[in-house]
Amino acid sequence: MENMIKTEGYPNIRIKAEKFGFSVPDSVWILPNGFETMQEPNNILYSADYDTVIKLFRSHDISCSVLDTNFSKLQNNSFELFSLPLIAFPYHFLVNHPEVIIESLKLLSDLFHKHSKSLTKSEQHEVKVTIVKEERPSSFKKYTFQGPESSFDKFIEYMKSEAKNEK
Amino acid sequence: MKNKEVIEFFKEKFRYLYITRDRTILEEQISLLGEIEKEIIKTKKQYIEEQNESLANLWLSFECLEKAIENGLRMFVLLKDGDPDNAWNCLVDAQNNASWSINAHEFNKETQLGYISFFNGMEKWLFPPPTFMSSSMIVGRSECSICKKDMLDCNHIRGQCYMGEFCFEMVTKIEKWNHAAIVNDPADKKCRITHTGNTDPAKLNVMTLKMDE
Repeated sequence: MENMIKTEGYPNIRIKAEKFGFSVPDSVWILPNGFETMQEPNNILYSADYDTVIKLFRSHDISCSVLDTNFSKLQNNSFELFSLPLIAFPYHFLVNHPEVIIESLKLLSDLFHKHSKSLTKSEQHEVKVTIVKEERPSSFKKYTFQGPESSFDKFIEYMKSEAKNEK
Repeated sequence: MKNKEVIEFFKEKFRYLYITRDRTILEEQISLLGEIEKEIIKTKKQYIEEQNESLANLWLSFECLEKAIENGLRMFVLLKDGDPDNAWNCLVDAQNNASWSINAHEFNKETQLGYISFFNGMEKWLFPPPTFMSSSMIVGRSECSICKKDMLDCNHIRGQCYMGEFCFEMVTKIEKWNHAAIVNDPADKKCRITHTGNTDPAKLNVMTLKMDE
């Protein structure tokens, strides 16, 4: 279990966004993977399922935004259950929507479950979900789950316990 | 045909999926399944007209499983004909359709998962392990197969089923090819190395180990 969930500090992406002329939205922020190490704001590539995440959140009234610039997406045709973007939760949005992280993860869990019905026990596929939480203004933490789809709900439990500890 | 009859029909077809079955009998079954497919599609269309999404998806699920079994039978006929390359393509179609069947609607989990496991087993037992390939590309624009809108402008989710139809993404603009890779789990198992050798084009068929002309 510990191997499936990793937490680490994360650079201040507000500074990076300002440097590149992007605005931090008052919503869930859908970012390209590796945004923190991006050198220039050109040739931005989102992972293949960024649109799936946006549609899923949007259809459940969770407002979300992408970078306010032109970008493309990278489609790899090797099998991945989903190729997800980085999902960031800005502090000012979390203050008004404290349940949004758990709600978002539950939606992803349902999505994974729907798409893995055809998998037999011997061929469980891995999912990788990375979220970034702005815990205090300009203080970010990254949480990554990487493991079998069937264990994803443990990540939700973990995030719930993190939220409780903060209180 | 009623739902129960279709399910019983599918259960009964397991018995034909063996390479020892007579070729003529396999072909008779393929032809019979073709007739059933027409009935299934007709019923599915009725439910689509009635806007009954649950039943439209159920009959889409039947359609997928019918195609899975039909391709499984074709695979054995092609193997008997000494055509393993096309037999492989039929196996992949059988695997995909069996998976799509349960994704569209779970009507009998045991039977549906049974076919999925069976076709996955056939891959291991009947064919040498393939070397799969995967292409990677930068997509500039793509649209939804259901509403034809830009993929970001609608709420249809890729791979999910809506009123008897799967949503898939149609790429309309490829900006750049990124790379090709050898992978263990390709999105499309038909993307595989078919020939090797020092000639151009390579001639050694990796399925048969015979030099193809």
